[in-house]
Amino acid sequence: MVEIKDLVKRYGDTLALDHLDLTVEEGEIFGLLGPNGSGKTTTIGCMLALLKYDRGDIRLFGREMSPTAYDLKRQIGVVFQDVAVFDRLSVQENIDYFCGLYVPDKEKRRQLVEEAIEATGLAEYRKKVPKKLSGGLLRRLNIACGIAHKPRLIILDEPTVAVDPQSRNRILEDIRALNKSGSTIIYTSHYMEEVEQICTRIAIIDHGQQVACGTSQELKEMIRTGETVTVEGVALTKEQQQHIRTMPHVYDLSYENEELKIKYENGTGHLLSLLHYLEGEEVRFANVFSEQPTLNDVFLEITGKELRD
Amino acid sequence: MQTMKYRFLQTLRGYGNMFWGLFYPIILASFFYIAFGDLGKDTWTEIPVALVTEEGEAPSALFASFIDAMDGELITVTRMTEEEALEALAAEGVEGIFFADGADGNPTLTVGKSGIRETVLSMLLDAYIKNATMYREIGMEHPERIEEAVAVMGEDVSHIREVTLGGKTYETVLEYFFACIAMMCFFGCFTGQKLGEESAANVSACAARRSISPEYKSRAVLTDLLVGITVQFVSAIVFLLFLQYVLRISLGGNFFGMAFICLLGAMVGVSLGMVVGGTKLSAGAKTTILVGLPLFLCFLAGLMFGEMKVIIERNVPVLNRINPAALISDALYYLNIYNDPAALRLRLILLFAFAAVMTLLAFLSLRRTRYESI
Repeated sequence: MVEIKDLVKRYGDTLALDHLDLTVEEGEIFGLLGPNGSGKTTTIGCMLALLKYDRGDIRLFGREMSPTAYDLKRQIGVVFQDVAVFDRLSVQENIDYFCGLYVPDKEKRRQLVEEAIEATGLAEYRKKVPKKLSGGLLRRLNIACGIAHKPRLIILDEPTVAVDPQSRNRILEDIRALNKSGSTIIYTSHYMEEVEQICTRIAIIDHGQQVACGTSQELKEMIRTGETVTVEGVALTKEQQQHIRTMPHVYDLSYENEELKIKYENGTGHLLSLLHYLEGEEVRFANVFSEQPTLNDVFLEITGKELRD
Repeated sequence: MQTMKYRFLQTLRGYGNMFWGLFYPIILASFFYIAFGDLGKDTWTEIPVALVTEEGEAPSALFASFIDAMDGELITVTRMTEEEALEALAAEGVEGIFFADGADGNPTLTVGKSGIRETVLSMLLDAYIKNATMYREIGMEHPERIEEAVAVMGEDVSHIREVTLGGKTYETVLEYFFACIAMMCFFGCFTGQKLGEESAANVSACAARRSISPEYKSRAVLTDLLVGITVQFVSAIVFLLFLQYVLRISLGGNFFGMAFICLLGAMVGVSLGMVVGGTKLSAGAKTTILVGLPLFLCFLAGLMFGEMKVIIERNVPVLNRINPAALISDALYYLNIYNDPAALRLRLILLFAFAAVMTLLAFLSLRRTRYESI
């Protein structure tokens, strides 16, 4: 459905997109994950023919995207990072206006507007102007304006920024529902939990390059870290630390302020082995917990920095 | 139509812009009205003058007849001796003394202070002196027709009265209102600014959403131009009606002509706002430009200082031809007061060219579809 090949975009001397390649299949919720400034929004801008780019090829629905590709535009809905609604039109008027840019038929539009209002839970706020809405409701209005015309492809650019947890969950549910109703979703975010929660496939981008792409599981399998065990409030001798370091699958160990952190390569049951050893050594500890690798670990291992940097 | 309806709603609900585009000019015009008195109403009071004559002298008698003809019209005449007249002037019983027999044979005028009423007396004297030779000849050759000749001069003098109301000449005062009309047309730039911002995808998220829709960009920009110009034009009509029917200022009879000039003015103002609004300048910079530029142009057109335009006309006349505010105010002047079709035509052509160029500029600057950055 979306094919981006060798996309290069510069802002003056800054290389924003560095030979970026992306492919999105129909029916996916495709996540574009990367830190702020990694090139996610620029990719979206180029994809929508809003931004000029220096090199590359962008094809949507098998055709080249351009500012005058009106029949392609008709099949796309966009939810921008910044709330893009008119401040002096009510909720209903805003949705009707933006839907009207895609759907000229008045009766059909009326039905679509109602559906969008219901889907985003804005029914009781339909007469209110945007400044009377909370941040979460405003984001929902932003989504309603982008999806009311029932597009085949929906692009959501960080739609949950500055949203309270309750509204965030509601928005994520809405996105899943849109996908179930047949829309392909491209979802950009720097919140790895969200991406992991809803996306069927994820591309990690950094400095305008795609550094990894696959399902959440595939991405995690790409890295060395399989499990991380943390033991808090533990007192260990140097010999004990050295012994743990030689246990099977351990590839990294840190011990600081009575906190032990051990990283294991693939495999399971590492926590039990460790607990057996500590029991045998009569070592006491306060807390112990095990973590499976996250997308942040994937990003960290591939790029050498935290996703939240 | 649905798009246009919402663009109208969004614009009309911009109360801040509507304030600057309509209510502020109304408030300013009301202040002008209060400052300049009851314009259009006849509040003139006759000027008390003394007439000093020497009995029997023919030239003196002719001037006396002329002044007598004005008695009760513009002035109230009392015949006095020179001594009585000077005393009355000192006591402000009279505002001027006409000496029918001056030093060089012509009548002279002595006034106690300077002002518009003293200027009227001076204009009366000038009107007489200018035609004195003709009256003398009529007096000698057709003495029976001298009254008729004086009556004709009286008609000329009554014109002086028509243009002197409220302590200023009516023309001068109207110039302030014409400059005010120019200002209100220009203040359409605030409506234009908002429309421009909502059209440029690199300026607002709303415009970006519009840009990625299947709406033709050129059609979207034209819709916005049409909405902005219509709103400002209707505001201008409301303003003209307010001046004519609420403040009862007689601007002149040609309402449709004035409306046409306001339409061109609205095109210039709204387009200017759209051009500036569509740029990446900061909000502060845009406001500075859109407040400063119209006010500066209107200052040059005589909004704050009525004589400004005259001074420019004397020294740098080309400035009045390239200043759209001066063109609006001049066009209104030539349409309503000084009946000069050639001068009016020139102003209208220049204003039309200005409006066309600005509208085209707004259209071209906003119809871009791809940006370097957003």
